[in-house]
Amino acid sequence: MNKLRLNKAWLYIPLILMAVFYLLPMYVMLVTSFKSFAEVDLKTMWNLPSGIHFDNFIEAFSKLSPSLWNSFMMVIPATLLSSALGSLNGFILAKWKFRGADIIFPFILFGMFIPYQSILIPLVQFMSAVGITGLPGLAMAHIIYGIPITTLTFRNYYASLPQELLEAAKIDGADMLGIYRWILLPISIPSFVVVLIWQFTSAWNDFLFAVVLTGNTEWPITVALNNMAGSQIIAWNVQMAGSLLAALPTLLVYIFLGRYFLRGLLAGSLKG
Amino acid sequence: MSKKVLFTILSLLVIVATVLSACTPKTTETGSKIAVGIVLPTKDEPRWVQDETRFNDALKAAGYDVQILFSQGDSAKEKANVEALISQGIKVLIICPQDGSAAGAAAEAAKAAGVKVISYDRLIRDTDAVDFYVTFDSVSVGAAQAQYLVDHASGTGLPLYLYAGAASDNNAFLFFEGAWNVLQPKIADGTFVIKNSAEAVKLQDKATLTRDEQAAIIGQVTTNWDFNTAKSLAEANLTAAAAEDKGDVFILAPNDGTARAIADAFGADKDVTSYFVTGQDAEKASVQYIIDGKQSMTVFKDVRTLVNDAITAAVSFLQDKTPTATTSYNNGKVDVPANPSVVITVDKDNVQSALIDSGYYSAGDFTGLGESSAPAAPAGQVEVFSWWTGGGEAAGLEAMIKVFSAEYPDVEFINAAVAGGAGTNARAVLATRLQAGDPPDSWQGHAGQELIGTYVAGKQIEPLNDLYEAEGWLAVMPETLIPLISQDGNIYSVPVNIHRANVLWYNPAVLEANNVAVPTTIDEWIAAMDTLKAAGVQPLALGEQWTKMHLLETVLLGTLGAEAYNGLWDGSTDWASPEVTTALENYSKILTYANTDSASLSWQDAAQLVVNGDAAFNVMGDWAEGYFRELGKAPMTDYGWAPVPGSVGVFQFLSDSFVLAVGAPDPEGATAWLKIAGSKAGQEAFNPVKGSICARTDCDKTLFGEYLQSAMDDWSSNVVVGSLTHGVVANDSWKSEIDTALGLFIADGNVEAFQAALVAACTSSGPCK
Amino acid sequence: MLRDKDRYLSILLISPSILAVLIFIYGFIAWSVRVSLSKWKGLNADYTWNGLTNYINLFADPRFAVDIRNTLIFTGVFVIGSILLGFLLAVMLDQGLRGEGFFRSLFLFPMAISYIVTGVVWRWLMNPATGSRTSGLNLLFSYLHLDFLQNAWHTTPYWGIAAIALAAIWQMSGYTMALYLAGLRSIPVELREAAQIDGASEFQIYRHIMLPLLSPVTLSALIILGHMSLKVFDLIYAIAGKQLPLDVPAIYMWQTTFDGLFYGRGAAIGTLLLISVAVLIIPYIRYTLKTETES
Repeated sequence: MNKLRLNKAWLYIPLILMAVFYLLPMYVMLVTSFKSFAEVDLKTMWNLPSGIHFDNFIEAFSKLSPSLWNSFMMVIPATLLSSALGSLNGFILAKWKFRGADIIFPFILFGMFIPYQSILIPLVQFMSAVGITGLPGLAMAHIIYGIPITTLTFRNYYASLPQELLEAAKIDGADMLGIYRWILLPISIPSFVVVLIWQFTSAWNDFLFAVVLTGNTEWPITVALNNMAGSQIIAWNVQMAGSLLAALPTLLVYIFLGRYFLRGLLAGSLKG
Repeated sequence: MSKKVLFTILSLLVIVATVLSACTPKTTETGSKIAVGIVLPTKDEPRWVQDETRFNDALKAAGYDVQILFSQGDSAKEKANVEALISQGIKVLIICPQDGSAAGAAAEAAKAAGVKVISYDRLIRDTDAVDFYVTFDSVSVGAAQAQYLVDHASGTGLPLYLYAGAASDNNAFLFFEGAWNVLQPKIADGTFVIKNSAEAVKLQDKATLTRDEQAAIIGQVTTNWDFNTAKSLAEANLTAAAAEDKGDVFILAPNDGTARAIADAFGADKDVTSYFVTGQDAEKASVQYIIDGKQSMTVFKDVRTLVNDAITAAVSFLQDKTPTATTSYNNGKVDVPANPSVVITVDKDNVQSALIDSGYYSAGDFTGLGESSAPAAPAGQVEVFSWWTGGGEAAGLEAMIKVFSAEYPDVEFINAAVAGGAGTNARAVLATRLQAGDPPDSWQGHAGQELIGTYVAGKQIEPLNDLYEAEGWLAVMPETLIPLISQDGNIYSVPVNIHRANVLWYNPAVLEANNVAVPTTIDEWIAAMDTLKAAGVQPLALGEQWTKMHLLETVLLGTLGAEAYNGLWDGSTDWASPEVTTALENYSKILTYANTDSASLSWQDAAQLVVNGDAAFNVMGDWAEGYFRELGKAPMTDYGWAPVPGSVGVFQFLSDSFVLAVGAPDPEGATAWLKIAGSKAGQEAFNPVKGSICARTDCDKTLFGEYLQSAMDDWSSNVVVGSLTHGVVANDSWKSEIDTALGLFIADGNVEAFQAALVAACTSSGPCK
Repeated sequence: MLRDKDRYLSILLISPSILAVLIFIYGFIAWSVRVSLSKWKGLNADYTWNGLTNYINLFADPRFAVDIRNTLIFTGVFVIGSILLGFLLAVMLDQGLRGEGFFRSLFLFPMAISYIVTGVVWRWLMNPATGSRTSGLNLLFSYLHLDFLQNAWHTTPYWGIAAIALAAIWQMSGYTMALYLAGLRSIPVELREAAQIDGASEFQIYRHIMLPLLSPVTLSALIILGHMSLKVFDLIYAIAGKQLPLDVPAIYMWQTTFDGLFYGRGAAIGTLLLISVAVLIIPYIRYTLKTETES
């Protein structure tokens, strides 16, 4: 199954074409991030920079590094907890339905469409009223507003699994948690990957909640990134260098999690 | 594109990150090697021994290894020390030369080895091997002394007595120059009358003195830095002066020793009812005089600040950056960049915090301390919200914070700045915090209706009349500005800077090539753009929607004139009038000369078209000038400026100002911040860096560049009107309704519908009923 | 039927999520609806009853009409484009080619970068200037002698918003790909192998076996992309600034609330967005759930 068959080599043509499409904007970002301020000009956007200068990266890094830790402190628990919650919810709503489960699901799901901008005020008021402020409050907001999307993703994966898988286990006498732990969890690795990717990315890149829920010593990296631009003159070369740096942890997460897409891992667990 | 290339690009990013993390001090790889070498003059004076400890502690804390050597008053030993340090592989050398001229050779040896040289406290002369100079600025010392007198002056015709150092000492000239810069406008306007120098009276209308003129005055009022000379000169002056020339007097004394001598003389004269006398150096005896109320102030040059600033510069070099320089000093061969350390004005009010609490002196050195009736210096913190996070704005804010921290060392400054742009509006964050009952102590807002119509109407900010009174700001802020930041007789904000909105930027070469003169009326402008268009030149560069609103307000002004323009905002000009129709038709016509891709350009992109010669004109606020300079363009060759046609003689302004929150968690700290924001020192630190002019009218013009100097002239002589796009003339709701109407107009081009929408906007959210 | 212990356990396990959703979503929606029925304008909360005035005004507002048109075009292009592209990429990557991991990370990478910056890059790329100032993609097309591809991008009247959807597809299709890839990989290998043994072609396998099994994934993708397209804000703002031809409800809401301080109107826009979603999505979800239970 995993062997590359020769007649599939032609697939590289569309793949590489697509790769070029995806890389074009990144090329512009990359060359711009190496340019000096005066070199940034629409007319010469495709040109290579006059040299490899790391100044922009160094400047961006010095501005971003203090908030790097804040981001990790907030994003990691937010990502893991909301994925775990979503997986449990999805399992219950797809395979362990109680009466009303089919009403609860759209009810949770609908929350995804709430425009965050319009609920900032009650959110800040509520958080300070219950005394959960700063990074824990921010992590909590990401966990809660992540519930709809994580629940949706998991529920729909579990729904696509044949019911027979569970029936067999039930006959063997497994209880609910047993089935979840031993049957579903091992084969939901790809779904965990997409959910973790989503949650990590959105929590890492979130600006709106971060800037209203945390104070200036706790600001995560997005606020620092945003603050590199002033209100009048914006140095796009430094800004782009900063964005590339800020995107590195996310990229590493993609690369690291990506290997769990491998079919081999999965096949083994299915048979076990 | 092969995968290898793609992999290379991605791995490059990873490498960049690795390299960068290696650049941060904490993980520096210089480990066993010495990064910074320091050479100090001698171990025999306590000052340098204390410096040794301070340097050691601070650099260790910053994660660098350091070695400190002493020259023991011997220039040859000094050179040997430097060579020894070079051989240890230092990257940065901090050296306080034993003899400024003799140290040149040592500096050159360092430079040859690729070591950055920081000249500490004393300037190494006649060599180009000095990279940075850390010093106190003598001119600013004199300015601080004079400022203290000016700040405590009220009324006119106040008797002023001038004293100077020794005519043989260059520093005496610098101190005097700084004082003269501040005092002269106040002498010229009659606040002060000089009583003890005929030479000075003769020159009192001259803002800038030559060296010879300074020498003439100093010759007449010199103390020779000597206690007894000062005392007998003061007594002689008092004998010569009539009783009516005494009373409440103001005295400029150059340093603490002479200040005490002069104070003794004036205190003994029966016709002197009160006196203010300045000083310098914070000598113990003078500190006691200040506590006792016998000397008014002293200028404190904290050597610890000097150490910290030297280390900041060294760390910059170690990180391959250039330390921030605000000025330069000529050492006989080159201009050495420097960022002079901030001096602190100490008087009875802050003697405790500035000298005792900061650990410079101990309380036991003085008597009567703490019995002072002055309120305790504020302590705690202050949270200030602004949208100054990048570029010159952030640097300007930092400079102002530096002044703040020097003046209020016990107040921790919390910079809660959030950038304004891209859908991540700072003002939304502020609005949310205000709604949630968690206001910052002070925040930034555009002076004018943005403040009045939003925060005053919402009862979110406190009136500041008392502060204006106490700080004497009414006398130094422009009269036209005060009504714009007031409501019902209450003043609500402290303006920091002024920008001009109605500036027409042009490319001189493009105009010349097409024989087009700079237009002064709308008709001339349209004719000029016709000529340019026919010649195949892009006449007008324009950007995204807000820049179109900016253009609209200037065309309204240019067509209607200042008076009718102002009338639009108070209801006295009818939005439905034919004059407004003409203005909108002009606007519609002018839009036809704009680039077709305006919707996809930022204001920067549009302004760049002009300096690059791709377009002839651009209308933008004068922050564009700061941008042009950052692009390395030269005024009057790469870009020229004029008022927007039709608005010659009119200054359409906007201003950033700070407010005091109702229910501010730290009202004391907030008031302290506002005092700095409104002070001359604060505004002079902020504005040259930000690229705007001071809101105060008494800032030192020489701190500013060519364009800003011309803006300062216009600001004081022109008719002043406010900007729409930048929050002066219309409240937020009204402005956003106008913005929507403008958006619809740009899409459909229907002037009639546009005017109707503007009338409706004025009715729903403006003064029209 | 469920055993009692497990039923209580399942309800117990899901109840924290339900509670949080009740407060943080429905509680706040209720607040927002209440504001939309008030006269609140300016910094201070004002809950004076205003009936449906804010809604009625919106329907008469020419700007809101533009917003609705733009949202429809944007959602259509973005959702369909991302699903098609994401599915195609997933199928290609599912073939077990060498370098799969690299391509996967590459297609996902745009998602990692902040919208504010990708927006600016796209603004540069889609610069519509002509003649000597041609730049961006148009310039690239002329280098490649593909001049016929040059166009005015997002400044095209009426359809300009579709150009922005292109940028959004670039940013989000990687995630759709990941969703589909995960879906494909959780389909038991045996099913596919059985079909191969029966002599089905690769195309037939995808068409008749994989696609039906992937319909819950398509539903996820649809909903995730749909909710993004209704909320898209930073990207449009960064590409186009605040300008009317490319206005969408999310921008109008933000601007009118925080720039104009029309809180009542802003909340009404938010509520209308929610209602439109409810009308479009809920019946679809009910239908899907029903067919699921039947099968």
